[in-house]
Amino acid sequence: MHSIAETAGLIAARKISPVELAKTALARAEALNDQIHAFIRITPEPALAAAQAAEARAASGSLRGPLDGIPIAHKDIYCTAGIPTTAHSAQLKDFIPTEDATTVRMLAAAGVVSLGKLATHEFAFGGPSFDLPWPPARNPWDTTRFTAGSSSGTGAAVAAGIIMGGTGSDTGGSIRGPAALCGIAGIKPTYGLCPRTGILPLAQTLDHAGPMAWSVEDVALLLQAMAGHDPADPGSANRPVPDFHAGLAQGVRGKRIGVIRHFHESDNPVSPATLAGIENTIAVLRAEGAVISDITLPSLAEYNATGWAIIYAESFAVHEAWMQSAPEKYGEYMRHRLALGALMSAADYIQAQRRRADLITRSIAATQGVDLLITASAMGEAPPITAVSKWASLEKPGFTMPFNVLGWPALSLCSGFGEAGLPVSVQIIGKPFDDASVLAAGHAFEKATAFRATRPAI
Amino acid sequence: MPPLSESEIAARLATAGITLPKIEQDDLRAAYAMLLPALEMIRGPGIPPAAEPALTFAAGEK
Repeated sequence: MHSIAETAGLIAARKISPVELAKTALARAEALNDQIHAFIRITPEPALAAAQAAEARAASGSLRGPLDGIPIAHKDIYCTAGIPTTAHSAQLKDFIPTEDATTVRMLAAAGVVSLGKLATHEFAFGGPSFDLPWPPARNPWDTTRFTAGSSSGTGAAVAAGIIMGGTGSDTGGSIRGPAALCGIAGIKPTYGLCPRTGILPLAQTLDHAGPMAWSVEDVALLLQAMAGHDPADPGSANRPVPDFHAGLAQGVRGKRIGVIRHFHESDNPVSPATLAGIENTIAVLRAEGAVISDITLPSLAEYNATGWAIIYAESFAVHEAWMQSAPEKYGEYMRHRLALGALMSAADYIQAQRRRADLITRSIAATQGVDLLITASAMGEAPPITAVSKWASLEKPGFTMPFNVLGWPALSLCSGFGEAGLPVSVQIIGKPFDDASVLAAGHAFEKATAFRATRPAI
Repeated sequence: MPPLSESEIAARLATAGITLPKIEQDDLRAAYAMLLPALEMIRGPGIPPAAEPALTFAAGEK
């Protein structure tokens, strides 16, 4: 399968037809969905109409850019006009939005061909669940394994080679977790870079929209289309958007990279293969010209305590009315996680926001001497899907939450393969609005290694 | 902060207007006990001498 960047060149040269590309992708989606349940809904008619429009633009030499005619799909918390948007929940089983989410509109304007709506944890929070109207997505590397969540369908569909990219959302790691376990790339951009208007919220002060794709280069192309100011999103930043694809060429020469070794070695020790992947990433980036040092941040537990207190409180506030009127329409995991927020006090939430401000101050001070950070994005390979605890987030502190709390850009990418042959991953983090350097580092690693040549056998 | 008793869990849920079966309340009680250390950990900053950025919003022109 070609990358988005390669396919764009082939479409422009009229060597690939967007319509044929869409038909092949739709057929693969239909063929594989019984195994991996990545799609809640496949939408052939609008997909083919969009592909035909892209083909007409290719014929007339008026392509809109590198995403024109590229098959993607949207996480089913992104509102799509005229197409049901369910959040993978019985609560919204029949909800048909009248408007697209801002990012759906932005991607459509870039010419993408959306194949449909992708599985998620219920409202990006409750999963993996087996008591919802649709089954949870399965990992294409081994369909008995977890995809991570909540952008589970996007992770599965990209890894399976059905779509070339897709949308995700990330409140505590919901882009980077599935990217890690499915062996793909995904960025949680800087808070405020991508508009969230029209995306069903989980916890507004931590919610981020962002792209996922097979490679970092493809993530950069998708991010370009999703980034920009949206006056309708109060968290949206009004600042120029850099050229992320062009920025990939900057590499890492001279970049100062801090390794947050205590996160993945002592705060929450990772698997041997994950640790080896992190060390290899460090070695590759050093060979590419980066200057590596170890740095110390506040503990992983402190960031997670802060982030989860905020998520439980804000998500309960979002869902309070339905928790009172129809709690039985949620799956068990979602209902219980929301109910935990109902037990918290106003002071709990306010203390969490105060601690968040304190963490931001301390993290800025601790990272004065570096440009980028490296740590794990997941503990190891994907676990069996039936072995995921309802309260996993309370059992061990995750590696992704710190950067939701801080709002800093963070990328997960494949760093190799583990003992069971499944992907392992690494996380590269940057300073606010320096998403371009994060992507450049990830791209430098992928160019220097061969891990993108191996796809799941499904 | 001590763990919540069964009756305290029921009372807080009732205050929030939520009805859950007893077995689910028991599960929730155990989860809350897991959350408590986190809630204690974030109670760090003392009484602030001034307004704090996290809890201050701006009125007026952008």
